[in-house]
Amino acid sequence: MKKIEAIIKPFKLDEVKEAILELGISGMTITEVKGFGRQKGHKEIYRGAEYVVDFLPKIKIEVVVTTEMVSRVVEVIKENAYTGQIGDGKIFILPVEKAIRIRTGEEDEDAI
Amino acid sequence: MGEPLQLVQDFVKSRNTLFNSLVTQNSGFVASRKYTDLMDWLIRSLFLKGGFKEKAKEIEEERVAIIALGSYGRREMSFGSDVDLLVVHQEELSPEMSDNLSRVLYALWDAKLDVGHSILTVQGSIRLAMNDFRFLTSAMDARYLMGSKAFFREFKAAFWAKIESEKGALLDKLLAYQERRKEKYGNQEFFAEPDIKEGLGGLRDLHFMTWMAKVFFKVAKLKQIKENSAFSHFGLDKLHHSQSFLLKVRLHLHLLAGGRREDRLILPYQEKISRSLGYRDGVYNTGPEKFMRDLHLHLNRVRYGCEEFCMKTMDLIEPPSAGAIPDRLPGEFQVVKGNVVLRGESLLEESPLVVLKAFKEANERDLFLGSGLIWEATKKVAMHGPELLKEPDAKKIFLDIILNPRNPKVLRLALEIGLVNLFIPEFKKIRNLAQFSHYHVETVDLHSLKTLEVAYDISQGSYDDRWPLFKQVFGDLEHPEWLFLVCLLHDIGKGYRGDHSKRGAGLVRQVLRRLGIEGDALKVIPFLIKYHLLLVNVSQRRDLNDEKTSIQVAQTIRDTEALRLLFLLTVADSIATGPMASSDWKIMLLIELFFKVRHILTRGTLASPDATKMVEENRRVLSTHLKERFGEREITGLMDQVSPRYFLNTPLEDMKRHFNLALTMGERKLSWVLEKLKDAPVTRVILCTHDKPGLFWKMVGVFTLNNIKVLSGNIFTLKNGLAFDTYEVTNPLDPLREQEMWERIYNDALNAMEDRLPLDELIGKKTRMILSRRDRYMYPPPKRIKIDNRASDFFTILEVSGKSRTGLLYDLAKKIFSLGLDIRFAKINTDTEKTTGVFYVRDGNGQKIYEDSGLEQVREEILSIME
Repeated sequence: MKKIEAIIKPFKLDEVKEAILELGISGMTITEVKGFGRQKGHKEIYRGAEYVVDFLPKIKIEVVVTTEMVSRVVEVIKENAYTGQIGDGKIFILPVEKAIRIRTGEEDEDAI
Repeated sequence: MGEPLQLVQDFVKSRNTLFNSLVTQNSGFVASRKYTDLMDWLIRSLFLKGGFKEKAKEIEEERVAIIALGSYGRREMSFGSDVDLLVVHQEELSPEMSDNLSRVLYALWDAKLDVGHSILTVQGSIRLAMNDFRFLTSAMDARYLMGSKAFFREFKAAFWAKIESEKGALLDKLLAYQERRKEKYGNQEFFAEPDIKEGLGGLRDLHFMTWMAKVFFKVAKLKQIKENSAFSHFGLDKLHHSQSFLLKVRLHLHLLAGGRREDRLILPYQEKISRSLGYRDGVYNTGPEKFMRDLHLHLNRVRYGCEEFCMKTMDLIEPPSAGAIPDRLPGEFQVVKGNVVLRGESLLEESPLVVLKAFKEANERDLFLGSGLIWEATKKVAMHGPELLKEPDAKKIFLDIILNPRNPKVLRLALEIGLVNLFIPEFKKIRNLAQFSHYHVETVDLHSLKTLEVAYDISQGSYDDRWPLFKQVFGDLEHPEWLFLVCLLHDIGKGYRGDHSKRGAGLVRQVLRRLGIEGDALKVIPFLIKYHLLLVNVSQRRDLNDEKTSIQVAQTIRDTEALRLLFLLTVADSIATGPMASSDWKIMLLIELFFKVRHILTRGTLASPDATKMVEENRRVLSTHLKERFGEREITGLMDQVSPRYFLNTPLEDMKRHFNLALTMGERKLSWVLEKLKDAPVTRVILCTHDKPGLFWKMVGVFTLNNIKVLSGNIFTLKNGLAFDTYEVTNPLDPLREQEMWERIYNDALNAMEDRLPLDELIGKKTRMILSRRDRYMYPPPKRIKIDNRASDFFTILEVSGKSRTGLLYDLAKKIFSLGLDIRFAKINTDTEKTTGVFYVRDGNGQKIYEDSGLEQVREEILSIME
């Protein structure tokens, strides 16, 4: 099992979500996050005063899948989150040691 | 909770029995119907256990209905399908009802089902449907499950009344939806690994027809459109058969994926499903190949059926304005709603020639055939084919259609109803034949039609924006009709073992004779088919700056008309094959070769002028240019260091740059200019440096490290130890940081030359980290090495091909270097699946490599690094 974390542009959420669901994967967690990468922050001038906008709003998608599904999930995230502009986001893949469904106590692949 | 648990267990047990019986179940409909029934049973029982029965009266009063939607509503569930439930209600749900509902849902979740549920009022659900296309379409398939029947009917009436009033807007949404699908699924990835549900020709096309029929013809089931006279002859039975096949494949697919809703028939599944469906290996084709051929037959049929259905529907909804099209056509026909139909009653009594005439009229006027006429024509072709062939004018009219392929839809129809097979029986062999090359996006028959269509588009100037040359060349053709014929027939040799070009060249003579074609065409067309891959292979695998390359092609082709035909055939074939085969870079290489060969052919003689004179001439021109900046002694001094072959094989512009770099280099170790091409995403790196052993593999390593693909490399070493190289590479991945990337590459290159960059280690790391989908390929390309000592006068050409992987070119270059060979020129073509590398090499003494001088070792060692 692996956890795939993807940081994407907020307006790409629907497309990415749909594409992941189309693979028959049934669950994921979405968080509104803020951050910056290479695009850094930028300055805005408002009524003569300078404001630094350093963190940009993003969406983080977390989805835990079986190892053999990893490449396909990554593929569809890449395809659907892409705009070619700065700030398209990143994908991280992490190993998952164990998964447990709280309601039933099912474990691992039964629990995801 | 004890009882629901028992129900779930019973359900799972019955489902497993269904799984096991699937192998023997031939009809996809029956199997999915059975599974849907089982689902009905589970859900009904769960509700009943929750006290639904006792409260029947209250439910009726409370006005609650439980409705199945989507595939569940259609009774076409597969094992991974969502269980889509809609609970419509009037008043607030009672606490008991809510409780009951959530208990049912929990039980369904425990059965590991993907449940989609909405609890809405009638108005709420209609509002949602109008805003959410997916909900809208799944609600069109609504089916009553439990609760108040009367209330369900009310819901339905309100829903369809709303749809009726929103028809116009709905049409736009439906058409836009189809467009999106076409865009998404019409590429080569989905051809090799089709999506059974959403892909082109997939189950969605059938759903789409049903939705359209429900909305615009107010029928409950698709088959009822037969009652509409426009569809009376529509081939629904065949579509039904195809649907059954697709449903069956989908059931198997979901089963293989462990109940996950997997609709993509990826390669490992193709193998497994073909086995479980009972496909066995045959003489010519493997089981999976046979299976995929059947699958593509059904996908093509559904796709075509859906297109035909759509066209008819659109004609009925928005009849084309009369205007330019005359209502009466010559002969037996008239135009009704944009379709050619018979003026008389029926075709069956008429001479079969009428079929061809109808196609000719439709083709010329950009119309389609009426459904009745299509149906009768199909019968006529099937039953009276031989008579039709005997008609004196038949061949002439058929050729007239092929040679003026104005209307691709009409050609497709001719293929579909068997007209093409009738005149060209050889076409049967390539009908629905899938090609497992990861290049193609169509089966061979459709690819042939597409090639013909592209050739026609070229003649109409459709490519003028991008490549105006195509139409100019077309305009120079003496026999444009030969181009159309050869486009249609170029792959006729596929489906047999061995080289399809040769086979096709052999077969085509009889095809042409049968069509009544005589004269030079019988020589030229087989020739074109035999060599239809020549220009692609040479342009992608040989040094075009070596004059011998173009001379050899010219010697094969011999005259300019044949060259023009072959060039346009190659272009049309590449474009029709798909984007991978017709990248801008590949088209540019083709054009370059075309001009070079043409130059040799039009000069009137095949012999090139004296090489010594050419060297002198090139040196003189270069020198004149350089004198503007540098002193004569300086220039001559440097020129004397350069081998004559450099002056023969290098374009003038590159020579100017190399010399400028060398003469201004000073203390620098490496100097380059970058030339970004306009016509393709390619950068040319023209560089000058101090030659070091292994310069080529180091440069390849640096590029690989920076995610840049090397397309070609030209390496010249000077007597004074300088190197004049030219690399053609893909642009850096990030167009927004190109400058920064090139600076990094420059520094990496400097470090690599001084051996300060651990290339092996860095590239090794890269290779391991790639997430690959390559393992999925069922037929990985075999590793091959071809050694050619004839194509070049001075070099041995190694042509290596095999499965692509990161760092392959780096390893190859390094291996060739370690074998003591010197690479003068390299050309590389990398796709996701296959890499072909061509290397012009010499041994340490500047000699070609022959069998007795270690060729066998070269072969073995190079193959050893390929997967």
